[in-house]
Amino acid sequence: MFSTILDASMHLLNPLVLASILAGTIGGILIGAIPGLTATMAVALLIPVTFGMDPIMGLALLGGVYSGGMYGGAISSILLSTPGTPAAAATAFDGYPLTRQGKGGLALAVATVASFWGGIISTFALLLIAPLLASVALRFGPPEYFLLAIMGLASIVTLTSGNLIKGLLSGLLGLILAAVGMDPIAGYPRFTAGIIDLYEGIAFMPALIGLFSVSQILELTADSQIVQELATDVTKLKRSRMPKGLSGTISRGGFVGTLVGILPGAGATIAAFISYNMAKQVSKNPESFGKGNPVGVAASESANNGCVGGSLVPLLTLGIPGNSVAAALMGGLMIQGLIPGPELFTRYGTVTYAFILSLFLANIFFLVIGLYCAPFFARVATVPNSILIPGIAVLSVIGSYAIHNSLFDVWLMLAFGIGGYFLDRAGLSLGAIVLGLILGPIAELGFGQSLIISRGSPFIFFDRPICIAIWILIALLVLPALKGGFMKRQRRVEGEEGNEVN
Amino acid sequence: MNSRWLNRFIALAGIALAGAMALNASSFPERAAAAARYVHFLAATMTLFSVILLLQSFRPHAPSQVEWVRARKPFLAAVAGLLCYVPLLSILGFFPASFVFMTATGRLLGFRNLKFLFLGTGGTLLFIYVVFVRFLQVPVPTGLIGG
Repeated sequence: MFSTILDASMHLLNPLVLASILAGTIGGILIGAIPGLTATMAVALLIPVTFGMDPIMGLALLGGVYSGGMYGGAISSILLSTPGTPAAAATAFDGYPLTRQGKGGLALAVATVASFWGGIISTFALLLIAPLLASVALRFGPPEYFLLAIMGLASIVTLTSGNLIKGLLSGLLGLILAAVGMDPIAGYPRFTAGIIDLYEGIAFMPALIGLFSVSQILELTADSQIVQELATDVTKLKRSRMPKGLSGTISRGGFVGTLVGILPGAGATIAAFISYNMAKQVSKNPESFGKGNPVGVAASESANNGCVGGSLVPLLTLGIPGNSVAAALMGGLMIQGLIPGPELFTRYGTVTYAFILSLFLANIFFLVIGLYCAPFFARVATVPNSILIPGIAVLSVIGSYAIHNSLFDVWLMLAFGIGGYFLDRAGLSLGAIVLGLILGPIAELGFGQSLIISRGSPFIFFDRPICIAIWILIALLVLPALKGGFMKRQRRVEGEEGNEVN
Repeated sequence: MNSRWLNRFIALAGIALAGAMALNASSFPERAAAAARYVHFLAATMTLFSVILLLQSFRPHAPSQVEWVRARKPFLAAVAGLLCYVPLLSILGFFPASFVFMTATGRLLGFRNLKFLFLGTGGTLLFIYVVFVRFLQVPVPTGLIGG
């Protein structure tokens, strides 16, 4: 194995391979930073380009796009509250408030470093313990997937800064929206109002772009600029220090991202939300989350980049892609005649290990690019909103149209945008709605299949060891938040009673 | 509208939505039993949380006012611009429609430097054409006149 790794690392010294990784990383960052254009789309578009290339060069290019794209999503998430990728949705919770405080450069630096370490941790896991981790994922059945979705939804209780019940209702609304279209078991169309475009369900990207991008530009209409003046930390970024105490959060996020990434279907978005939630749970200052706490940015970014290596574990060892980008990457492997499985690590070991090692280089490249370019990225926040709003709207149209070449999706994006703006004003959580939309298909499939297996008995969700472990994790997520909410209410009631006495 | 009445409205809307979903799921055919079970599960949970929100709204506390729109004029200009932009896409095509939308909305939102507005819009659309259309081959709406 070590001789193969050594041989693979020699291939990476080829200037053309290095140039491929760099080009892929830069392209990935740009694509990731533009709302609606995802790394999946970029990888899928580039697969035909890699057909004529040397396998190592082609796969290194795709790996660079994947890593860069995952990081790039944080840029627009932090600066515009418009996640470039769904995985960067949780980054906006603290990243955007930091931008509004004039600390966009700091937030970007934290995101860059956290993404780098998250990526490094997960690539090490991919390199060293891939077959072992893959065997754990194989033990997940429908009940475990349903509970995994419930665990993701449980994180809503800590994502919600206002009324907890409204947060949970928002998550449920997301689940209901995800139920539009044909059901995943019998293919029966529901809640479509006879609109054929809705038979395959509400397209996720237009909904996401609408909720996070269009609703945000409508919010921006009230201000002339996102920030009037950037704080000095942006131009003096290289001299400014990273906030202390982030290493634990970043390490935890990297491991969470790796583990969640290994589970097929779970994905970087769920990992980022879980990591964010965990960081808030263990924080001594949980109320600062959502108001511009760099720990929140570090937690979500380390986890979503942690998914890059994790999602490749089942892909390379079992041929099961961990998420949509990994599925697209599978096409890149197949086009080179590389069939996922044990042979990838033996017969084609040099190519496989070179691909894995190229991910380390991609992480180093985006670390340098991210830290060097952060001040320039941050300047976007000073562009007048009268210029920024039409520009984002045009990119949102491209992003929502490009997936299905459908103007219906553009109307859908607009409906979600305007509706999302008013839901946000009404105190409902757009983040929770998006989480419900993401988890809906996983929850429904797991729920339906589990009850078919158990012949309708709900005890299937309680009598399996992994299910019990997930229930314990759910309780650990929910109970402290409920306790905190109860104590806050008690304090408010006591305060009101005190005022009445006075 | 204050937050108390808003929460009551949301709770009642949630109960109505749950009821409509449950009613609809009852008419699902036998083969879609799993789908019906899931919809009933969602409807029951929706009802539960909506009832809790409704009960919460009767708790004694000072309600706050809900501010729907912070600056009405630019908000309406942006919404109107977006609502005109999408039909315009299917008539003029992406690039002419985007040029009209970006310059008109930029102007309506208060950008005064017309020269910069036209140049900036042209530059942005040129960048989109080179990177997205030519290099990445991302499809854009063509419209009736093929723009």
